[in-house]
Amino acid sequence: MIASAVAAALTALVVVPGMLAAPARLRGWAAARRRAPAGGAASDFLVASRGVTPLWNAAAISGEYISAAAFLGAAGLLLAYGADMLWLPVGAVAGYVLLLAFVTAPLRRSGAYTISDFAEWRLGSLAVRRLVSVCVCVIGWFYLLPQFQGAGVTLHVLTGAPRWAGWVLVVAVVAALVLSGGMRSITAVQAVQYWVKVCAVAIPAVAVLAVWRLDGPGGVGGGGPPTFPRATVVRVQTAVAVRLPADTEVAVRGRLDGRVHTGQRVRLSQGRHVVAEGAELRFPAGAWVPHAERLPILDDQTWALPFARGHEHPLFVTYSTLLGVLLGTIGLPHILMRFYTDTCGRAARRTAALVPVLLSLFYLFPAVFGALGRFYAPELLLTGDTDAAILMVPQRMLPGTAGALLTGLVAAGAFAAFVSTSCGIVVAIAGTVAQRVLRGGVAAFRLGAVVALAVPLTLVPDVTAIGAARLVTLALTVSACSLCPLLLLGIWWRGLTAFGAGAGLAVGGGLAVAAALTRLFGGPWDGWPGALLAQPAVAIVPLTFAVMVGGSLLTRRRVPRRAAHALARLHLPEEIVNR
Amino acid sequence: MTEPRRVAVSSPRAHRARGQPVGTGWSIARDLDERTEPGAVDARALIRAQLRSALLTAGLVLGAVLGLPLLLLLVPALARTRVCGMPLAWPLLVLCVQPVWIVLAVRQLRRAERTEREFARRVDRV
Repeated sequence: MIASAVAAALTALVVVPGMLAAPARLRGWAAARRRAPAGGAASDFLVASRGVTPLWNAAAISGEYISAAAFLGAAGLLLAYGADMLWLPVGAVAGYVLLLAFVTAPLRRSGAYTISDFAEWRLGSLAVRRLVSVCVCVIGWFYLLPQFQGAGVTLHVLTGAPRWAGWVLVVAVVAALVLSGGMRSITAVQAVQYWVKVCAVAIPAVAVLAVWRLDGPGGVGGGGPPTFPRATVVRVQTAVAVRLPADTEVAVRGRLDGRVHTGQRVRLSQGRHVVAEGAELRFPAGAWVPHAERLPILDDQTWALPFARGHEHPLFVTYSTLLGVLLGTIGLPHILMRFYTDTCGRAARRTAALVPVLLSLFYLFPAVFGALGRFYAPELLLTGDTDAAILMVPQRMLPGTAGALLTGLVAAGAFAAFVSTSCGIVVAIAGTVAQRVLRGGVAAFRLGAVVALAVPLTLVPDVTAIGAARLVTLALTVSACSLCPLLLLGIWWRGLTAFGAGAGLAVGGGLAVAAALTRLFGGPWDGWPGALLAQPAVAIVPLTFAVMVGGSLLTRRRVPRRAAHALARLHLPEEIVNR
Repeated sequence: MTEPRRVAVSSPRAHRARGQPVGTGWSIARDLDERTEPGAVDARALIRAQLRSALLTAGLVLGAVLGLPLLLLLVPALARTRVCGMPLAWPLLVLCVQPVWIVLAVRQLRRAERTEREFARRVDRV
């Protein structure tokens, strides 16, 4: 039942954008052919037509921003860590207010398609352009990882398929869309997909809330650690080490703690146990939920309140996360590129003002699944696939056809999230890489797209232990520590020099990437080093600004002579400039 | 003019985006940049006014972003208060904060557009 609903949803998802893309693609190709001798083909290929209205473009931007992190990760983090994770959506939407205030209109008026274009135009330096291109690639790769990972988890939880099947599926769909349609088709697809995603969380959320109101446990957060509300069978598909909050009876078939069981009841003591691959655990109703080792065991009170977990340096971690998300949103290459499709600086600003409205609407719903997941799908805490909360809650609360249909809808929205975000990032990376190689032809763009997809695909098997939202936070932190200071200073400060900007990008971006890689592939760290490595934005962002400003002041005599001219160009309204 | 000839450093695509042929400057910006001191002063005044309103918005955003966690940390009783069976923190962070961002965004948009309109009017008068 579930499988057929999911299959139907996926088919619909592939068909709808396909239909949208096809006519646009034909137009794009026709135009490309006509103009091919002038070398304009790539430009036509990359850029959406400029008749896009602010609301249409705002929907496309929101659609591109709502990735696996927002769709699956926000609910997953709430399920695993509780109220402390409510801050992430807050920071994300606030970031767009800053983007509106500081960046959108001037960036649009610069006429630059990518941030690399902007950097080169503003500072007149090829070296800075290359550094920016590297940053764009790194941020994009970090951002693609959770999309692939989310697709793997979704397909795995719903159909039992191996995780790589989801990765390959997303890569294939994105490659097909980007390689054939270019950006022109993607504007339409992104805007439609925003509404697909909102419906895909809103309808199930309202349904499960109604069911919960009718027969659920009265309130959120009254008792101890989570228990199974009814008898539950868990099949463990990848070996996992778990911790139990208290002694629990469970029927085991398969290997547990190194001993093979054939379905008899075992009493598990409080503490650590290792469940082997393929084991089947039958928990009676009311049994304590074993937690995957990396997840904290929280009683209801601790889970439901912010700052109640008693983890190290809570305020620092919260502030640093918020700062990373806030400023990181300013420097996201695939989002910034979207403003290029607006007709003028004012339209870009109006677009940016609409995005918080659309994102706020979306972010009302994931919290519902995170909260209800604790009561209705607690076995996700055992397997560690907490990102699947949003997929499991509807089928647990509404068994039968209704649940299957809602699950299909959620799955469609989830894949819309993976595909639309990935498309945007791939276009951003490919566009940036292609412009300097091979004179920005279509072939270079396609080659760039393949590279953009291949790198994260090779890395994703190694990062399965971190949830989607945390991976996206890494990407946002890198962006906050590199491209955000460049944009803010480049747009508002005449004195920025190529040397200062380059030094800041190298120091800030380098440190942020080093911290992210240590976090992903290094051992667990405690205390201040652990907190700093997990959320380094508070430390690195001011340092980057300081290096950029200091470096520029040191090379004051090399301020580009056209800096004042460029700044006027960025801030004067078009109608005055073009008069 | 003693200055060496200016070389435009930008990608051809950027020129097309501005709707201008490659190689031609645009009059008022050159005017602002090179010759007339009053024009340059005007552009600087516009940038400064826009920066002021952007910084004010950023201050309000940062104030809220820094203040809310501090409030919930220092006054745990507030977070523990229950509304409809939920700790207050949930409806507060899910429902009540986002409208603040929308209001700030709209306010910033209107201020920025007003500043530009006033600038255009001043340039027209000159």
